[in-house]
Amino acid sequence: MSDVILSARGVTKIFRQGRIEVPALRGVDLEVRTGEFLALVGPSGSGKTTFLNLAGALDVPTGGELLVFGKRIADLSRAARAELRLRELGFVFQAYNLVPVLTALENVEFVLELQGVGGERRERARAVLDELGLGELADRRPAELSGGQQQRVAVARAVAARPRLVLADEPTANLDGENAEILMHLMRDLRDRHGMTFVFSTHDPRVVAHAVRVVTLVDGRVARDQEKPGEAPHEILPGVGKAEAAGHLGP
Amino acid sequence: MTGSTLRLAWRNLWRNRRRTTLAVTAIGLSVVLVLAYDSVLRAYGDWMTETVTGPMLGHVQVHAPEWRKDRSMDRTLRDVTATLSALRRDPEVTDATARVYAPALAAVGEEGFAVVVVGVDPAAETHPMGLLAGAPALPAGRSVLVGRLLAEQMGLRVGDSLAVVGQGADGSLANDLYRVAGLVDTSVDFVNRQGVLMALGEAQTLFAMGDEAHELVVRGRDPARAGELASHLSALPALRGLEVLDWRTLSPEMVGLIELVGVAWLFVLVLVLVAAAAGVANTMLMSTHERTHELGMLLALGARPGRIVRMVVVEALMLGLVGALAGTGVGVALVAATHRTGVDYAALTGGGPQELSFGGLRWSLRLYPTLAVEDVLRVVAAVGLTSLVAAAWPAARVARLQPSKALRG
Ligand SMILES: Nc1ncnc2c1ncn2[C@@H]1O[C@H](COP(=O)(O)OP(=O)(O)OP(=O)(O)O)[C@@H](O)[C@H]1O
Ligand SMILES: [Mg+2]
Repeated sequence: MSDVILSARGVTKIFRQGRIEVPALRGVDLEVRTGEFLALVGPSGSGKTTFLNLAGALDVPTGGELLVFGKRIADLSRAARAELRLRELGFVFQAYNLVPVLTALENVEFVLELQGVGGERRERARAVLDELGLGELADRRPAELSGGQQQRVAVARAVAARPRLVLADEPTANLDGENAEILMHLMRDLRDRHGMTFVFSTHDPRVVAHAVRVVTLVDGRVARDQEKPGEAPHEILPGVGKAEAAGHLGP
Repeated sequence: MTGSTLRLAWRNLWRNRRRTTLAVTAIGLSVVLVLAYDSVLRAYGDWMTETVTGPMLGHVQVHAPEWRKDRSMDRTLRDVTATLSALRRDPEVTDATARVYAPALAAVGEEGFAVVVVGVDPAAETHPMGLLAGAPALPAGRSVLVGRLLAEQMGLRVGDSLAVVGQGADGSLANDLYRVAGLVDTSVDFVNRQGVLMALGEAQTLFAMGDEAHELVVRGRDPARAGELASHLSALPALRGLEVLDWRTLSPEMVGLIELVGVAWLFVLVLVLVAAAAGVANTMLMSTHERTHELGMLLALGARPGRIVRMVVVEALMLGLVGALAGTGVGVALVAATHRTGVDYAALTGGGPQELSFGGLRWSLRLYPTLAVEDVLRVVAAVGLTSLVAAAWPAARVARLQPSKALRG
């Protein structure tokens, strides 16, 4: 079973700034399968953020065909894209991921609330933080957390609603080496245990080292696509899909 | 609306304490001003209604037909004693009294002054709503009370002898000497300026009137129901053929004035609307602008634009209501503090006119501010509604946010 959750064929994105057209993506071909742990690398301006935004249904492509969970992003309404993000996708951004006036726990609760989770929201949010070893930070507000802690809480929030695909745009950019390591282990662990798919962009070679597959963008095109032998998702997680995932994050 | 929405809005509101405090203060101050103004208006309105339906007109008046047109001495009501006791027996009537009005000349020395002799029943007019409320006692015999302004004009003092000359109801000459027993100072303007008050019996004797009077003043339980009382009374056999009118019909200009005072709050309410609109719109525009990235992130997480808009609207409403409640607290405290002792407006305005009369009333310059629940509710509701309207602009901006763009900015 190929289990392709994201498929891009000749995807282009052109931004218009007044009269000037800025081609950010010039034809991206890429397939992402369940359980992948994929790093998107490339020079600044190569289109990493743009691609992640399209994959995350935050924006629509100008041309080509982009399917996420079998849905053509270009065909979806604003509301349908919001629904797709809410139900299937998790996001981690470079910084300021958290709502500053909410505690770590409340930040996690917030997405569960958006999902319509009812009474057991608080317990579920706490369980997610506990599982990621963040239980101690539950009642702190973002300002009372270090940068590394904030990013870990952001990951907890991204996965709390059990998304099938987590998109992270330079999640370690503001972290020191040690905190970047911790964050990568956290994400990798989630992927290994729950079969969640991660696609993240980065400039940091130490972060790239954790990836199973590395896709390099140059000038809005895929210039290189390398998979580490022996670490392909179906070999690491034979037959593991979302349905079989165990633990708090499981259904 | 969930508790978490309220909590989030509350916390967001205080992210920029200084700015929020400023907006709350502006809204609060405008509310204080409006409440202060309302409380004075209400004091005026109540005072006017009380004066008009009290010493001035009562609730219902009875006259001989045509008397009000020319106030002719001979258009009198007859059998006044019997009519009054019939009225006083009526269950709808709380109190009834008779008055005589007679134009006359009064003099201390050479110079004569045009006055109006008012014959009143001291026993029935000294209660708080009577013409003699707060006036010095009117002894039996040939004693009079004189309006304070008239006395000043004539150079009269208590104890002086006053000669009164007029025409009796039968056309005969009426004159006699009276002792000034005291000066009266009422809110009924003409009494202060022209009134010479004497006991009803004295007036009847002076003007050769017998058991007659020009006016019956009747009061019921509720001034608002004076119209019903008037139509009820006009059906009484004792009042057949007489003119029976309630105070609204007798003094339409006062009714108009009272109604104007009743809606004057509308004008000053504009103040609160402007303050709330400006405070809320400005604060919310700035705060949503600063939070563009954060709002984009919430949209990215799958929050529907409606949810974000609701967050902003709740925040705006909260801001307005916090201001309104703060202002209400201060305003109500201010009114409560001045309610008993009153506020002297002559002193406040730096010694303006000491006397101010309009519409037959001498306007009080000492007022006792008072507020009704509806005054407060009205202001709070106005602030709330304005906040909602003012939230529309920032909310519309937020509703159009593109998550990818917001996240970049
Ligand atoms: N909203 C936009 N309007 C105009 N141009 C844009 C917009 N977003 C991106 N671009 C342009 O598209 C190109 C790709 O940008 P993108 O942010 O995807 O690159 P990136 O690979 O994420 O870069 P970095 O590593 O610096 O984050 C750049 O030239 C950028 O200036
Ligand atoms: Mg980028």
